[in-house]
Amino acid sequence: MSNDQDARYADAAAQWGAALQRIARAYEADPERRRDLLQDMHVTLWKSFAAFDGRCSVRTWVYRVASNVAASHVARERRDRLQLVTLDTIEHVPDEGDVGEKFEEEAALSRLTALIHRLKAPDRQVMTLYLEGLSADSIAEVTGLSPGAIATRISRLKVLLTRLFHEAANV
Amino acid sequence: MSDLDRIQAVWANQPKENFSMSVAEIRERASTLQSTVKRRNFREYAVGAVLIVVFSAAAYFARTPLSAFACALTAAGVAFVMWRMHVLGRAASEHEIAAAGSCWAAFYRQELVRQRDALRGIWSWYLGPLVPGMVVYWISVGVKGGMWSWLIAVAGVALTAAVFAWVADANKRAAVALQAEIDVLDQIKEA
Repeated sequence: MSNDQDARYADAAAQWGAALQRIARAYEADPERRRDLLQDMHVTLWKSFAAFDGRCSVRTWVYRVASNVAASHVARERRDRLQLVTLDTIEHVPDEGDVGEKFEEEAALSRLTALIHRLKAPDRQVMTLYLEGLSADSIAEVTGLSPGAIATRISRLKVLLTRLFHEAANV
Repeated sequence: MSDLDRIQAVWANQPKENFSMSVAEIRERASTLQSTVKRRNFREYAVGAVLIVVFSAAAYFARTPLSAFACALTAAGVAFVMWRMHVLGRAASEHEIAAAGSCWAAFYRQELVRQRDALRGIWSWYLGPLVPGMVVYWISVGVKGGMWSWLIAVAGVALTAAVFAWVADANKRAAVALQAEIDVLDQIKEA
């Protein structure tokens, strides 16, 4: 079992390592804490493969583990957090400071990350998985939220993201 | 390429940080606490250890048996609080591992419930254990002599009670906020 666990972890880390980094970035702005969070994701992923029963795909499993470790991290750090908002109450896309000298893509990423950090947990979860390119069905499988709730959120976040893209392009 | 596709591409192509962990490193780290838990616990245990040392020293050098007893009770109360924090922290870490592969909403709900219950039970594991030491300390101040000593003791009890009530109220409000978050999550899950 231990060899299986090691092999599964190694495969998953090779294939989804970059996704783990992006999810960690979605949940933690501070570089040092983000590195801690990323380490925790990898350790938990390795441990979790001891209990992997194949009832879902490895991709779904990896996203679940990463999301759950990130959720624990946010719950622990909640007292230090900004006032979080929902997708339908956020009025403007936050600006990460002076981006005048940055390229368009960098400005968009900067604003996107700042936006994600402001969102309440369910919205942040759906937003991150949508950006990862998961379908609504896959997001439902990872999150356990109802398809209706996910469809509503995807519709709202599309409007928000389109606005963000145009604002970043005008920087 | 649509605007949304471009945003997704920006997200997917963001700079990758230099990070790697071998299986051997993972195994080594897995035998200790999670990094973020370890850092948080270190801070809390350090504060607790300092308080235990200070109150133990105060008990040793106290001028009267009653004030020595008060300081010893307080040190024991702090030790109890540290032990409960350790137990609660360990339960949280074990939950994080055991439920790692479950869907996010179920996992996050359990996390919120665990935190809410810890906040609701603040008297039993955090404030309550400190009460005996505080009470005996102010009694030890009162019995030193005269009316003024008792007035100071009563004022001290009132101040201590006010601080404890403020802490309890802050935790109660935090528990209510967590319950509201749990309710919203339940609505979303069923929507």
